[in-house]
Amino acid sequence: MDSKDKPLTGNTNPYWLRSRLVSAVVMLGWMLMIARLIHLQGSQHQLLNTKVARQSTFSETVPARPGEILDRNGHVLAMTVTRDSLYAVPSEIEDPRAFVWAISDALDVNVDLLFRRITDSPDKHFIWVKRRLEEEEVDRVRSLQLPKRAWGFRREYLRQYPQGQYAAHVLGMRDIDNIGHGGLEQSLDQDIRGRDGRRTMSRDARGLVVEVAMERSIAPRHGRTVITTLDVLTQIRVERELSELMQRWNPLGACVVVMEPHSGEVLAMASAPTFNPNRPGSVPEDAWKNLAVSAVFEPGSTFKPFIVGWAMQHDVLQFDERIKCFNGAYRMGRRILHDHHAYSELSVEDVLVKSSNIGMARIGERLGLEGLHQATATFGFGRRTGIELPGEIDGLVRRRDLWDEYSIGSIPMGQEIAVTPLQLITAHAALANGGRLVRPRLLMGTGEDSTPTPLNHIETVDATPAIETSILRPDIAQWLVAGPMKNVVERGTAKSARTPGISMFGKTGTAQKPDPETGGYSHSRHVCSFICGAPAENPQVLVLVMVDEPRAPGAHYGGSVAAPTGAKVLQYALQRILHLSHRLTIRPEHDLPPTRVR
Amino acid sequence: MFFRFACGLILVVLVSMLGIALEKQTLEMNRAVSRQYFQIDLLLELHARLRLSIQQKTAPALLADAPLTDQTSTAQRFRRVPSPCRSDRP
Repeated sequence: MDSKDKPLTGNTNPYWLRSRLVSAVVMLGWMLMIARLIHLQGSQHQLLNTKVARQSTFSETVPARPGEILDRNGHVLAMTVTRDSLYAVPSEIEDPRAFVWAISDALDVNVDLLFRRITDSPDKHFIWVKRRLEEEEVDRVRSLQLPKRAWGFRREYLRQYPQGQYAAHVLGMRDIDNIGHGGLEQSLDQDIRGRDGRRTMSRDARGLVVEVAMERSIAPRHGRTVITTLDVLTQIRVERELSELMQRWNPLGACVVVMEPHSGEVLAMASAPTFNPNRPGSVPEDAWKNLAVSAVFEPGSTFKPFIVGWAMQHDVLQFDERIKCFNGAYRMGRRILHDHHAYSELSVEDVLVKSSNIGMARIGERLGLEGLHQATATFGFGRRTGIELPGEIDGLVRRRDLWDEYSIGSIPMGQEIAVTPLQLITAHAALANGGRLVRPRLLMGTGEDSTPTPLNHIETVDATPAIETSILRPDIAQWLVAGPMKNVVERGTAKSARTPGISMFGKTGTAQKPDPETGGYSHSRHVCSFICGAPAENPQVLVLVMVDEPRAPGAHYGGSVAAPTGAKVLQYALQRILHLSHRLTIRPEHDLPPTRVR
Repeated sequence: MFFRFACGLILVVLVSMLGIALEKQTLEMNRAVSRQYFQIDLLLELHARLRLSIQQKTAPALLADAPLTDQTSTAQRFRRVPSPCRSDRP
């Protein structure tokens, strides 16, 4: 019996051998896989994780949305929307000429410039073609079917001013890089701008976002909402009246400020020439300046009530006194002062009503240089008021030691010092509110009102605390307003402002501008001003109109140039003040919180 | 033995498939949550645009400029038509 005929034992059975072999191979395979897994999960774990994270994780900046600016009734004065900006990738453009030609079909761009930019830097990965496109422009670009990798859109914020040119100087504007210039946009830039966030995301192999990793993301802090004290309806009326005044008198510039004298809240502030912040490219060079805070002029007769009040406060002048006026000519040292009309003697009230320079000079003599300097400083001249606007200047009050005997005659009639319109109306507010000098403000205080409103959950810019100082006895302030200043309108230099049914007080000012050629005062160039308020018994509104160098033919006096405009604005503001609540009223669309959503 | 091996393999495959299904579901939910963040951005933008549109269309300057006749006709349009009195009926 040979080996072929031997029965197969377990160890020599080919099936057994094969199955053992397959099992061994499979086992070896599994062992290798397990070993590899242990290797990958153990020693290379960190390295691979980093690699995966690098490939699949990316982050992008989440820009903070700039805060809104509202008027006191919730009307939006400035807000932000997003727009698409078109960019090109020169390194991906195969035929620059065709690309630029196609773009020029859809957009109004400088074709030569764009072509040069693309061909000059063919390796670049990014150049702007046009920023902040209109919706129609975006659609037109999309319909061009340009090569996909050669272009793209990026979303950018665009500041919009729904009220157009109204309150432009108070608001200022925000440039293409979201930086505020002028007005509240500049002074509250940090609050309005907010802080950008960062969003970390992971994507899959196709580049689609799989997950937003919130634990590694930083939420943006959106800009705060600014609630101003402006009343947009009053603002519109003021700007329309100002525009008419500009057309009628053709001055170099003019401004109007409307203020609530008790709180110092500015209800309207306008300056001309003006601009439209929605069209920043077309702003005339001379339109940037907000004359209300950055122009100075000699106040002229509008300054006289402060000196009279200060003299009474220090008991050098009595209510019922009569001042000798020397029939219109009075010698002070080497200088002879003149009045417009000759008066032998005037009551204190009539010194203001008739705006007698001689009468004021005689009151100035009683106060002396020290008293005059004190009065000037106490009413806030020579220093900024502290309103929340950039570019406010101090005005010009010379040091006390630079004043001489000439100043005794000049200061009481509002010469030798220069003030800003805002300083002047703030000082007059102190007369109108019973002797308290308040800081003018443009931000509504929301903190003092504990009643919940829909705006409570919106983060707003806090108003700085109100500051006030008592500078004049209430009886003196009240007498000045309800007596002489009321009579200025009734029978004095501001008769043109008289309005039936309104108990108005006011004071006109006509200051000669310095003449650089002669070194003295010009006889043809004037600054006309008019300050008025109502009702005289309990003033609720103050209006200041300042007109710089009217050039149209006519009599250039405060009473003829500025007073009619002041009266019209006052009449309107007086009607509006009844409807203005000191608590913010909210328009319904504010119900959705635009800030701090996550 | 082969049967036992196959059963074990099927079990492992089933557990893996279950794991994969759960993982896919988790990913899908993560994606849905992530979408919400972008959705909020879009809604905020839409809200801003609508507000801008409202503000532009109801700008006080435009309302002040609206002719008085338009305002009158609107008022008349919404004025309630008086119903005939009982005594008017035959």
